[in-house]
Amino acid sequence: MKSNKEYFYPLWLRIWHWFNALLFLLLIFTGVNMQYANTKSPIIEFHSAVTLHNVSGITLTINYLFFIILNFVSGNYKQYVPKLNNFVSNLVLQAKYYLNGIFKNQDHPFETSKEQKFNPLQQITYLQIMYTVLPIMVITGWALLFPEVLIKQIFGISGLTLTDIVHTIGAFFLSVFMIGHIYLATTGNTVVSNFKAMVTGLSAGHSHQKFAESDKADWHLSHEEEAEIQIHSIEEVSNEN
Amino acid sequence: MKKFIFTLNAVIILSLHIFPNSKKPSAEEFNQQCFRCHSMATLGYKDESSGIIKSLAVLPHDFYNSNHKELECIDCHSRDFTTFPHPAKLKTENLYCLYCHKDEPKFQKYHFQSIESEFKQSVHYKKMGDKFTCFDCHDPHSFKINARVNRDVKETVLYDNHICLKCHDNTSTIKDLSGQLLPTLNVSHSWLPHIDLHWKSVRCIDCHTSPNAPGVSHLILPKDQAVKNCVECHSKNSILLQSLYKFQTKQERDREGFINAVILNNSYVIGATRNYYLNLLSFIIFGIVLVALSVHGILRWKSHKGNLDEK
Repeated sequence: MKSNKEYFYPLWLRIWHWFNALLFLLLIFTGVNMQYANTKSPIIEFHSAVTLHNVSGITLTINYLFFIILNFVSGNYKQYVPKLNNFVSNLVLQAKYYLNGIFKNQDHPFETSKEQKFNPLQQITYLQIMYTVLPIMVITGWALLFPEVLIKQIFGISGLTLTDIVHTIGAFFLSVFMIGHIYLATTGNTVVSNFKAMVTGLSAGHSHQKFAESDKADWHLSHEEEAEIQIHSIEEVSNEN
Repeated sequence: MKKFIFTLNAVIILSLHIFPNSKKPSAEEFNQQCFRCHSMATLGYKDESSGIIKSLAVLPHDFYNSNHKELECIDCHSRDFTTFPHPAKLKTENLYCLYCHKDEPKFQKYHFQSIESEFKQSVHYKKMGDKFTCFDCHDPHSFKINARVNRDVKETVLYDNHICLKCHDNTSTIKDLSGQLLPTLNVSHSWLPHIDLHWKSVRCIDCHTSPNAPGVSHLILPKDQAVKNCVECHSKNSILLQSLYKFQTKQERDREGFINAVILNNSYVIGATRNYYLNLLSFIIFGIVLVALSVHGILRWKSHKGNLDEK
């Protein structure tokens, strides 16, 4: 049987992804250990937790820079740029699917392909995580590594305390994201298909088979883009003639 | 009328003779006589037995900003010092803080009796005996009560650590006192991460004393008994709550978490700095996410099973 799988995820992306996942787990584990450190039943010795957290954080920064550079070089960054037409309605459509359609065995509302790997909810979430929360975590993390360079007081409150609070809140959101991310990864064509795809790089994406033609969401192309392509096609045909 | 005015004048004049200007000079006025010499920063003498130059200077600015500012010099020192030259016998004058502080009811809250017994068990007293006195750490001419009243923990730390560092940051002083050449503090504390930050944020005594004293602990422990386990401080039940932050509002700390009680003190301790409301909110959000995903997963599984059954 011929596979309809496409090569979704290049090797660099998969290496970055799994390394990032490992570092996330280490940072969450050691971070929780530090935040809720206690004398009676430490899961990991405090000093080791601090060292492991610092090393993981520094490695994550390097890994993040690797991601940023290759993301731009490869053009993968385009995946993260949201399409502004029907932005809210697309988000609602995707949310409705997770809250309702998924239980009725409906198709994913947006087709995915090598060119458009993310659904609108994924796209906006990943955009925020990768370009807002993670930079904040990296910056505050490094600031906590060198507390002597921090602003002593911000509006009368310790700069160190504020930096820590921002770092902890960011960490909390990343932890929640990670749980949601892992769970939603099970909503692929099969429970494990997305996990396999992230290992092999090959994915079948989501294609519409059950939706009526009129129900299909226009995710790949906006009406304007579609119209533009049609005009180009007509022009090409006329030129050929 | 003339007779009345004459009588009144006579009474006034007579009273001036009977009660001459009896206003006692203030402590400051009295001390001025001593400060004429003792305010000279270089005033001192060479101790015959040790050969060490001992200062006799008392800086008026420090004294009048100290807790003893209302005292006359002779409240502690012998009245014989009012004669000059001072009698030679006064060289051996033996002063002890607890002569005044032990039984006075107003000093009860400072637990001087406990301080005395802690001091007797401290490594300083055990190693040096009577040669080591209160005055080796606390200069009575500049002593200021600190931890109890200072809302700025960093200032408390700076003041208190200066007391220890006067000797311990000077290897030659330590050699004179102990007869040993000890490593510098940076070397002996090299295991401590962010050493400068620690020294600005905690007092030496927070790790080097027994934390169970009713007041400020004076039981200085031998170095091998000092706190070296990070979690002793970096945890919710941080020992700093029994020492450095002891005098912060306890109820506020218990209820609202460490951070709210000390946030204005520029304090931050990993593991101990937790915000009650943020903690609560994070647990609630985390719980909701887990429950929501579990319910979602179960419903997905049931609907999937239903679809399979239909087929």
